[in-house]
Formats: sequence, C-alpha cells, structure tokens
Amino acid sequence: MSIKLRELIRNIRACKTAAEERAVIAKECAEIRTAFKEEDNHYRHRNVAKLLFIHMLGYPTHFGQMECLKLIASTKFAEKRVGYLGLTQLLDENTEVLMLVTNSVKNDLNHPNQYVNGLALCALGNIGNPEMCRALAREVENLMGVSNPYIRKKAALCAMRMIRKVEEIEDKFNHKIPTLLEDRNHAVLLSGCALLITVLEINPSALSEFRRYVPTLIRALKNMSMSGYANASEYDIAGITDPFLQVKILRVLKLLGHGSVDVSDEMNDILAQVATNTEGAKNAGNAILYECVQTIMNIEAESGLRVLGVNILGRFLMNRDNNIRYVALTTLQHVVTVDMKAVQRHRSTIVDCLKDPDVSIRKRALDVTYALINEENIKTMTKELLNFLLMAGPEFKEDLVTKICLAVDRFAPNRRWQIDTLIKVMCLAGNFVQTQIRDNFIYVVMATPELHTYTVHKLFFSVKENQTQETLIQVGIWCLGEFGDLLVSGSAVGPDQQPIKVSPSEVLDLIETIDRRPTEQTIGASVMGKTAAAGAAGSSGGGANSAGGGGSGVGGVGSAVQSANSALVTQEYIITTLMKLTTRFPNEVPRIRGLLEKYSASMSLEIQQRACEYEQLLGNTWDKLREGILDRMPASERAKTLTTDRPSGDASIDEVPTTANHHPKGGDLLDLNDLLDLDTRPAPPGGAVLNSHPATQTSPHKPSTGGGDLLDLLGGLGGELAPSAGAPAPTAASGLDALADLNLGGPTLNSHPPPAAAAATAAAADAARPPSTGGDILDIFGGTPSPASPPTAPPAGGKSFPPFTAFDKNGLQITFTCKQDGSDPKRSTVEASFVNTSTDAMSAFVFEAAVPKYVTLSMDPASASVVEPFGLTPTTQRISLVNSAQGEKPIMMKIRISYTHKDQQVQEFGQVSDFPKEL
Amino acid sequence: MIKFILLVNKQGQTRLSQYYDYLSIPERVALEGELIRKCLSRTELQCSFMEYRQYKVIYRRYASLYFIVGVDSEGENELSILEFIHTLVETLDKYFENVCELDIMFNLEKAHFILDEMVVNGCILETNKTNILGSIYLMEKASQ
Repeated sequence: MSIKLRELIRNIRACKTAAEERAVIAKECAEIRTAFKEEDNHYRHRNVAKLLFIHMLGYPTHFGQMECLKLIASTKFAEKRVGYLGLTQLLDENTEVLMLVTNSVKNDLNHPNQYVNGLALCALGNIGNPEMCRALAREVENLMGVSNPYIRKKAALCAMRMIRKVEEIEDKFNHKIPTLLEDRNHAVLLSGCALLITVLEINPSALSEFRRYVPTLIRALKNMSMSGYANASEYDIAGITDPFLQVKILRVLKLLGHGSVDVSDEMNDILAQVATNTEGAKNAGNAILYECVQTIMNIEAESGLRVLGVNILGRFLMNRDNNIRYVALTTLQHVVTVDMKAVQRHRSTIVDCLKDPDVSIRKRALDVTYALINEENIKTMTKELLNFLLMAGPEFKEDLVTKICLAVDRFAPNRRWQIDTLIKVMCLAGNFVQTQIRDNFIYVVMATPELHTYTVHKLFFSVKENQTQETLIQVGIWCLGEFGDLLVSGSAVGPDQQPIKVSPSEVLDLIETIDRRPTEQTIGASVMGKTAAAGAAGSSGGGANSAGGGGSGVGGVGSAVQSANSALVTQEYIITTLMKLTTRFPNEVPRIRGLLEKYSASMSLEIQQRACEYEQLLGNTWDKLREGILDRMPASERAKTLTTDRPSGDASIDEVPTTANHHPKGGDLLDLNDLLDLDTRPAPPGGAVLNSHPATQTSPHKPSTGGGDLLDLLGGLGGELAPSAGAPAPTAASGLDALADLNLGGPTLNSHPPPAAAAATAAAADAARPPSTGGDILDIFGGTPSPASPPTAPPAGGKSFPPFTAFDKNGLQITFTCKQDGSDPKRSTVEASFVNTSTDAMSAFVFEAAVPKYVTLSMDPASASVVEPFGLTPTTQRISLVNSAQGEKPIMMKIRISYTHKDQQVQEFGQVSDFPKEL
Repeated sequence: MIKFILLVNKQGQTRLSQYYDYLSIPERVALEGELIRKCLSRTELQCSFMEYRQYKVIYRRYASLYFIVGVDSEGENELSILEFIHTLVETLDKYFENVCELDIMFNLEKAHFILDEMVVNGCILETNKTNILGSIYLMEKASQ
C-alpha cells in the first residue's frame, strides 16, 4: 500500500544513521517501482512527488522518468503539473527519454489553456535539448506574440534557451524583441532584455540592429528611476522601483553603448541621473549603482561621467559593508584596464583590503593589486606584497607567491632586483612556489652571466640559514652545481672590502646537511614496510654505503606523499650538482664520489640510474672529456627570450637594493643583501664565454676535433644507455632525454620533460648524422627541449597585418596574426597563438573554428595540446582561409575552445569579427 | 545566468535544489556538501559572496536555512542576486504564512512551483509577489 509523501518524509527524518535512511529509501523505491509496473494511475503523481524528494536527497531515480511522461500526457491539470516538475528535476537534457516528450510538449504549447502553455514553456526553458528546440521554435515564436503577458515572458526566456542551444535559429526571434522592449509589463520587459543580452552575446553583429532601441530603454529606465512610488508600486523594493529591471536595462545599455560614441552620448544623461539620484543606503539601490558604474566604464562615456563612476566606487570601497567592498573591488579590476590612473588613487585602500579577515575580499584585492602593478610602482608594491606574504595564511600564500613572481617577471627594472626579490620570495614561502616559477628563475639566472657570482653567493648563504623552503634549496643546489667555482674563487668582495672566502668543503657540508635533513615522517604502515625493505637493500647493495647514508637516501622516498615528490626532486638536483662539482672542486672528488655512491641504491629509479651513470662518468676513460660534459649549461633559447629586454642591473659593490627592508620576522635573512654586497666580476674565462653564445662560438680551449669526439661519445653513450631507457623511468624521460640530461647536467630538464617523442626523435636524427663540424655538436646541445619545428613555412611574399586579440577570457588569450597570400589575395593564413596567463596548465586543449559559407577554412594541428601557464610558452595553430567574397565581405569566425583547467572541463565560445577588412 | 539555487540547512541537509545546468547526482551531492561547509565556516560579518570552482556563489542565511545561489563567475550582478534571494524568501513567506524549513520540506513541489514562476532557464522571470502568487493560486484551483 502506498504511503503518503508526508509519511515518507517523516520516516526519513526519523532515521538516525545514513544506513537507516538508505534502507528506508530503498524500500520506498521498490514500492514505487512496483506501483509503476502495475500501472497504478491513481497514485502516480504522488509517487513522482516522492521521487522528487528522494532525488533531492541524492539517490538515483531514473526509473521514474517514464512516469513523468505519462503524467504529462494526462488530461488532469494536477497530474500534468507534477509531471512537468518531475521532467525538469529527474531528467536532464541528455536523457533519451526526452525525445519522447517532444510531442506532448508541442500539444501543450498549442493548448487553449494559458497555464498549460506556461508549464510546457517552463519545462522547455529549463531542460530543452537542441532537438526539442529545433522542433518547437515555431510554437515558441508564436507564443511570444500572444496578448497574455504571463505567456509572453516565459516564451521570451524559452527563446533565449533555444538560441543558445541551436546555432541556425539564432536570429529567428530577433523581430519579436522590439515589441518586448516596448512592453509595459515589467516581467515581459525583463525577459525581453535577457533575450536581447543573449542575442548580443552570441552574435555581436546584431548590435547595430538593436542600437536604435536605446531611446525606448532609456525611457523605461527614466520612468523607474525618477518616479519611484508613482510607478507600479508592487515592484517596489525599499523605495526603489524594480531594481531587477533597472539592473537589466543598464546591462543592455552597456552592451549597446560599447564601441559607439554616438550611442554612448545618448545614454549619458540617464546614466548620470541614475548615478546621482539612486539612494545608496539599501542593497537594492547599491545593486543599481554597481551596475550603473559597470555600464559607465564599459561604454565610451565622457570623462565627467567616468569620474562620477570612479567616485561611486571610491565610496563603495570605504563602505563598512563587506558586500559593497567586494563588488567595488570586482569592478575596479575591470576599470584598471580602462582607467589605470583613477584606480591608482585608491591604491592604499585596496592594498589595505589584503589584510581583511574575509578571504573573498582578500582574493579580489589581490587581483586588483596585481593589476595595478606597473614599471613605476613595482618596487613599492612588491614590498607591500612581501609584507603580506609574511602574514598570509597557507591557503592564500600560493596565490600570492605566484602573483608576486609574475609581476616581478613582467616589470622588474633590472635583473639584480629581480633575482634578489625572487630569492626573497623563496626564502619566505619557498614551499609555495610552483615549479614553473622555479624553472623560470633558473632561466633568468642562466641568462645573466654578470650576476652569476653574486647569485651563487647569495643563494649559498640563504640556503645555509634556511633549510625549510624546498624551492629555495632546489635553486640553491642548482646554482652551486653550475657556479660552484665562482663561489670558492674568492673573487667576491664583501661590504667590508674583504674577500668572501668559501671553501669547497663548506659547500659540500651544506649539501650533505640538506641531504640528511629529517623528512616529515607521516608514513603509513605499508610505506614503512617498504622503507625497511629498501633500507636493507640499500645496505646490502653498496659495500661502501654507511648505514646513515642508506637511511637518508631512502628516507626521502618514504616521506609523506606530497613532500615526497619535492624531496625526490631535491635529490635529483643534488646528484647532478655533486657530479658537476667534481670538475669544479678537483680536490674533493673522493668525497663527492662517496656522496654519490649511496644514490646508486636509491629507491627512485631515476636517481639510481643517474647515480650509476655518473659513477661511470667518473671513471678514467672519461678524464679528458669530463670537463666538457659537465660544463656550465648554455643559456637556452627560452632564457634568451626571457632576458633580451632588460638590463642586468647594477652588479657593482655598493648598491644596496631598495627592497632590503627590515621585516620583524625573517629580517635577518633578508638583510643578507647588506651583509653581502658582492663584487661581480666577469666569469673566469673558459666555459662562460662559450656558454653565453653557444651557437656562434666554439670553445677556445677545445680543439675542433674534440667536438667530433664528443659527438661520438654521445652516440656511444646512447647505445649503452639504450637498455636502461626501456625501463619505466618515472619522469617519462626517454633514453635520449636522459642522455641530454647527462651531458647538459641540468636538473631542470629533468623536471621539465620535453615533449618526449618529438624531441627525442629529432635528437636521434641529429645524432645519427655523421659528425662533421663543431657547430653540429652545439646544435645538439642547444636543441634540447624546444618542440618540433613549426609545421609549414608561411607562403612567401604577401601582406602581414598586426596581431589582434581574438579572445580573452579566464586567463586564456588568443591572438591572431593574419597574413595575406602574395599571389592570391583571397588566400590568407592566420597564426593563432594561445597564451595562458593563469597559474595552471590548460590541458586537452582543442580550438575549433567555423566560418560563413563564403569562406573556406583549413587548420593545421596545434603545436601542443597543452597551453602552459604563466603565459610562458604560447601554443600556436595555423589556420588557412580562402575568402571567396574578398573585398566585399569581411571574414568572420566563430570559435569554440575546450580545455581542462584545474581538473574542470571548460568550454568557451566566441566570435571574432576584428579581421582586417582587406582579407 | 543562475546555475543553481539551493536551500540547505545548518546540518547540511538539502531542502530544495534546482539546477539550471545539468550535474550528475554524485556531483550535486558533493557540491552541496562543500558549499554548506564553506558557508558555515564564514561569519556574519564576512561578505555574502564566495568564489567556488567556476561559480560565483551568493548566499544568505535565514534562521537555520541557507539560501545559496550559484551564478557564472562573470556577468551577474551579485547585489541584485542577493536582493532576489530576499524576494524569494518573502514570496515563500507570504505563501506559507511565516515560512519555516519544515514548510518547504513537506511541500517541496509547491516550493518548486513558486520558484518556477520566478526563475526560468537561469533567468529571473518575475519578482512581483502578487503576480507570482496570483498564478499559483489559480493553478491550485485548477488542480482540484
């Protein structure tokens, strides 16, 4: 026997445990199924109502879908009503059952009863799929014109869904919009505005068609804004007439006014009126003011109006209500791009918001602060941000660190300051620095030979004082490996004019200390077991292994899961650095050998393999070549592009960086600058010269035949290594990748596996070529991680156009560079460049484009399916276009972009109409 | 566009949910759980807006019940949504005469009917209480 809905709810509420609840629901679902099977018409709608409740609690209810259909087909209004509700709740637009309902909906749309129409429109508006939309567009179009406003408003919103779902009917409803905009019923006008906004978003070319309705909208807005009570009082909220409608109209005006001075002029007065007359004491009024400011900032408003808008924002910022401050910050972020100066005036208030206890406010404030940074204020702003870094909570730190580093990369006045600041960030929050930023730092250091001595000294002392920040340690270790000789040369002079003397054994002591750091021991039992087993393997594996050595090597592997990874990376840095130091500290080779040996028993395949290779390399066979192999890494292509634009800065003795501020905490550390005002002399001759110009110069002290030998060596090593390459290397590095690493010695490559296959095969092809000149070797050296060469060369001749931004949303920026074919003006190629300025990579990136019929389009594959974060390396894709109506019609393009970002599927649409007219 | 409207109580029990973009049931349960946890962790003085996944979330508490509205991260007026929540509460209050959590729970379908008169396809449709309830009363008459 079927129980009542109330009874079911009571039973569920009475459950004390989740298991009990599940049992009650399972039992009820079984009964409902039976009732459905028995075609129990009497209780059907009650059962569907029960399913609604069960569905809301998060239990599967798909078996009720067919019943909803039966209810919809019923002639009783009550059943129909529940049926439609069940339809919108229990089904989704992908359910196949939905196909079966189209006909019932069609009947109901044509039903003489307006409420039946209303039910059908509501359901269609909420879950209509493309097929339904296509089939029912005509009915909806008719209903938009009926006399009953109750139907008109619902039909308008239904139409809005249809044009979103089905491309080919996007302008089907356009002719109905003007009447909607003139409607005196608030709800119809509201829905009409919503529909118009959608039309304009989907198809910006409709703008000109609708601009002439601006006066109509202004009139409606004026009526509400001026007359308050005299108007429809039932829409009154806190003395303000229909704030929802006012906000919507302002939004339409924003879209219509954007890009047109004339239209913006038309709305000047009304916007000024709304901005001055609206009462800002209540939330409803502030909603209107907020929208009004957004409109003012988006249209081509005259300066007086802009000032008015910015003043409102200033007032908002001072407001005690956090909601108001939040929206002020949100708006300011947009205003920064329009009117930087106006926002700069509020800088101190904005920066103060970083201290707010409310994380929503802090996030917004950080975004605005970041947007406010430019060449002029970078030093003071960074100082402020570093201050906050000291106090910020862990969940806020990563974001903050990323923002600081990005800003420093963009606006640093010189390299010295940039390196100083980044080191400072790593000292304060090195555990929150993302790997891309770490790698970037290394590139910067690499490309600034004047500061090598300075950097290695600074990092050496920083790491010595602070061994808790993983990134700091990693870059420190890397620098020690690369520039260890500069550190012990004694060429650097301290502030007291005394040379700073660091002995090689001190450096090795530091590395050893880091290596033996206790790692956090939050290990589960199973990992413990593994560790013990590995420990045993470690001590039995190498006779020379001290027990402590084996233990620490394994300890890194067994540490907590999240820190395990970075600890491993640190170890990877350490072994390469140790290897590099064998040529820089020739007297310490026996000690280094001892340190390296224990890694040959490492649990990490990557480290173990590398350690064994290094052991081989220390053998006498390689004596002549070792120095060349372990030479300093040449500045890579990427490093060069990073550094072309900036002076390296004052590397002289007495510059005290302005940012060497005195923090209460961590201050001693930061004062390193004062302590260590280093002399930076040009690097000692030898590798350095070669390294900065790898492509043009061969090593002066190396005979040219040596180059050939080196290549042979590469080939030889490649062969030797081949078997081990077959083993599943954890970093997915192929054998050749490993080889590249071995020769170039940089751990950065390691953590940054190049697009493995492509690079590896390219390198293999290179290596297979008979050795001829020294230049080739350097090519191989230089040709490490750069992705495959550009697909096809652009057609020669023709006209190039300046790049323009085709799309810019949520950190994804797409720039098109057009080039017209020289021989056939109809043909053109577009180089699309995708830049990701967010902090996470966009993977599974797919870019699709559609063009009108008079244009034909073909696309090459994109250079990568991932768009790297921080705007570092753009992904590119070439598009070829043939415009058969060249000269008459411009090229238009609709684009669809889908990618995975922070584990979220994202899909974006856009329209590009800024193509050069000549194409 | 409004992406979802949730009514969740302090114990984390959902009392009404309406999604305008499809999410599978496990996704919904997870979303509702995480949102209410976030709401509960915030104080009265903090602002009514949160950023969560790709949504901007606007919420307001009435007694033990949280009204939570998710919109796209850009393109909605947060203050206006906040005002809308209040209008929704007032409408429910007028209909149920001093609405409480139990009214909504035991009359889930009625609450949905009211919401459907106010929002369609993620867009605000009607905000006038008299108009909303007028058609609701008429439809109830027709249902008898």
